[in-house]
Amino acid sequence: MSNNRKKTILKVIILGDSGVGKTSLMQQFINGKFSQQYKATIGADFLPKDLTIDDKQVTMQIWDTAGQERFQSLGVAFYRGSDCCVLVYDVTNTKSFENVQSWRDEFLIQANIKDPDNFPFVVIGNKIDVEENKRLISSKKAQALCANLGNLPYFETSAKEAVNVEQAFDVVARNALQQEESLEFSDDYTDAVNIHVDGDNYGSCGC
Amino acid sequence: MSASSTYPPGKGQLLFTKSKVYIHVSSSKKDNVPGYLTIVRPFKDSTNRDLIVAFIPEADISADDKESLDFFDLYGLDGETFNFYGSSSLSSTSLSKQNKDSVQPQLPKVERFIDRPRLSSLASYAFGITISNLFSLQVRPKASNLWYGSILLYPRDSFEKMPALFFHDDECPGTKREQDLKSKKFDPFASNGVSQMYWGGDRFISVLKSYCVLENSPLEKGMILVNPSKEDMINFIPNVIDNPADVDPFKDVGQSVNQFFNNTKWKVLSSLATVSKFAKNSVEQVLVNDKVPQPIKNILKKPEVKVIGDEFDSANIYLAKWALAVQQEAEKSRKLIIGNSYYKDLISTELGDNFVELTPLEVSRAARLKPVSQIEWDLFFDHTKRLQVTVDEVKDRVFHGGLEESVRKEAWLFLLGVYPWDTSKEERKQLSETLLRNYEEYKQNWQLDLEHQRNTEYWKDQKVRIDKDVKRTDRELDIYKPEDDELDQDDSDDAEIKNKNLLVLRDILFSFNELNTNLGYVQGMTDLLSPLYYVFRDEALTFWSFTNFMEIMERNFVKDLSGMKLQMLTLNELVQFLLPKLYIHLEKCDSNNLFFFFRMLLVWFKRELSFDETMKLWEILWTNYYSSQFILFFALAILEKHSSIIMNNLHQFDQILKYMNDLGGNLDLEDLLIRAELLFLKFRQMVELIDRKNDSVGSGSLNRTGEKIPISDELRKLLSKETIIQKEEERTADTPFG
Repeated sequence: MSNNRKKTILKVIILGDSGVGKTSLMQQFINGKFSQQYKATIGADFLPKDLTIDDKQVTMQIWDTAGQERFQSLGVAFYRGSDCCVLVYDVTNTKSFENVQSWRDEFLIQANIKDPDNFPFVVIGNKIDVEENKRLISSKKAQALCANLGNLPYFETSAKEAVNVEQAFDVVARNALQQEESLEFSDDYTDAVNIHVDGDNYGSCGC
Repeated sequence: MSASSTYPPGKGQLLFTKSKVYIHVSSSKKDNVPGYLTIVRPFKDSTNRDLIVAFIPEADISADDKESLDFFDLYGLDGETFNFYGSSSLSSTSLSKQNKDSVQPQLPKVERFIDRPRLSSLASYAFGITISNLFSLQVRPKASNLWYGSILLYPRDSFEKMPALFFHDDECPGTKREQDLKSKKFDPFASNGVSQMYWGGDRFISVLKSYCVLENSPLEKGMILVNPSKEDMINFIPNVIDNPADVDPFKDVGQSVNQFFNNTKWKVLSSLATVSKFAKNSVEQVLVNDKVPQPIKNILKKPEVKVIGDEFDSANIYLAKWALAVQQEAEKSRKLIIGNSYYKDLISTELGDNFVELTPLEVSRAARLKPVSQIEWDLFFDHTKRLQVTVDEVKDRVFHGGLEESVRKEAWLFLLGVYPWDTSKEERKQLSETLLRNYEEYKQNWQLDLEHQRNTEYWKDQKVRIDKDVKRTDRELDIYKPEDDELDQDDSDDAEIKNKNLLVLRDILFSFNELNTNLGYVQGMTDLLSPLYYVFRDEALTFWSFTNFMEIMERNFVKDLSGMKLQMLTLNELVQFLLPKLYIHLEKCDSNNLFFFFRMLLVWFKRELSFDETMKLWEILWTNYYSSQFILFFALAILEKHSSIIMNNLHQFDQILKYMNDLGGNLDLEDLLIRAELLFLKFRQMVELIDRKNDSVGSGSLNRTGEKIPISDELRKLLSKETIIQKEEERTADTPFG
């Protein structure tokens, strides 16, 4: 049998404050459904989805986590090996927006990301279906933050009305695939380096 | 055979009957339903496919019919002259061959008519099925005199199963006569059936064979297909594919091979799962496994099937789930037959032979009882409504059966310690008035202190959290259903809660915040609160019950999660102690952190069980009957039940997590409770045994090889009924929220 049957698995983590709509976004993307009856997420779970990105077959594993801060210390086990991280806030909730950066920082530390500057994040402002007067975070403000955090891709979505969800996750998938492929490459490369050269030169000959 | 020109009105012709066939409705003998298993030709012109296989309870039978049935049971097939005695445990070669070779069909020798059997009945246990609708039989021949042989009928048109039919040969005049005849003819050198015991089911199958084609499935022991279609043959009888006459089994299935596989892939996978006992890691390994029948391998090599394999690539999970369904089914029926001794076997194989056996008394006590009814509950109390039996007796009863819904409202207040056990009704009435007043005080604390509400950051933060989670608590239940105008309301955070019951939950949580200022609100608490309010529908009583419940559960919610970690570690040790093989496997898969139990332990399986089951599990746990941490044995029981599936099919952290997370809705509460109880008893016995050994060795705790036998403090605490209390640290100005 072919050895190549194992599909590429892209691991994607969704982070953000409690109640910003992480589970809803995941469900909308994977199952095309929205429910008023989601419960607060406890622990962590993932849903797989098969995708074709430019003729390449991949399985995207979307990991949904609990939003409450104290449960995050458990998430560490799941952060490892992620290929992309989605940071979600609620456009009607200022605090959830302010916390985007801490979610990113926390992730970089916990997931032990070697090259933080190039790790793909995608920022999502969710719940744009609300009335305009309830919206507290403007697109401009959000874009400024994303630019500031290293030109992170930014999407405004409504998981409830399926607005922009597909588009956001398309970028998530592409960036994750790129990350996964670059990791494969650098892993091979690192092995080669370790065999032939001592640790001293590590990193100095990356180009 | 003489034939009447017409059948008597409303009657059908009896082709076969066996008396003293039973349905075992419960594990209690007195609930057994005796009846006749019959094959009836309903109308004179009915074809063989229209024949009805029916079970008719004795209670449903008229005196006339009874006479006909009893006579037919004894003499209807004239057993003396026909060679039907081959055992029904048919050789693994094709049954159809035997069909062709068989001496003569088993036609009735006497003409008897009975009322045409009903296919289903609401009022009794009668059921029937036409042969055309009969998909397969699951035959469990009588293997010893200790229990009865049984047959299960599986209909074609639904997954609904009919109850197992047990052949009580020792009471059945027909079978006894046949056994006598058989022993007279006993030929010790006969090639078939020599070692088999003759039983009532044999005759049923040999007669059924006269009216339809029966095929053994070598993939599943005891499974016999009735008039199998080509597709069934491919799925269940790989030998058919080997047959050169059927070179291309797909040829006449239709043009679209894809469609064929879409329809049948589940069955193909199912067959694989059945084969999974041959230790396979993946579809690929099935291919290199010698024990897998060649035809299955051939199917898997087809390109169309490879696609399916890919589709199911993380598919071990699916296989495992299927294997679980299979296992559950198999166990259910086994349980019916041999009852609790099965668990004994199970545990002794699970834990090794050198283990002290559970005593029959202990095993029998593991049987689950009916929930406590209102009448039974009231009998626990005297005329002043003061408890007149011991608390232990009540707890024993609740632990082993749970409560009927109507009893919960009162009983939970005792179980949660709101009402002391030794109070009279009058005293409880006074107590509840005091509790109401006290609650009002806490409530007013925050209700009146508007300044506090507006200005304290902590309060505001808590309010947002509580609002958010209350809004997403059990909304599928009627009492928490969204109000009409709430449905199209937007999802922003300041959207008002409209449902009045949810508003009560919110007020209770605000008030709890006043009472336990250190802990405050943490996600998961709404899950703990909602069933309490559902039962009491009384704000103050719910509040005090919740407060007491949180006393036990606070360790789950402390900020550094140390209470949860300790429980997971204890469970981890318990797995090592009782399920070492599984533990080694989990270790290999990076899963020995048992993370998948986090949610289950945090809110006591609220998310995995149905609402009703959750309430039952909780009241059982509240008894602290064996251990204040019985929940860990319940978790262990899940692992124990699924261990072979996990070990055979799941090899990665994410696979195991997914499998465990998806068990929700698929946990058999009663079955797991029995296992949990037996595992606890086993554990206790092991600890006692080790303690005794350690004592006899003297100072050192040594086993045979001179190593220490460690029983950690955490494991030992599992034997205690005393609740473990862990409190949140005191909140200071620096304590972060969340």
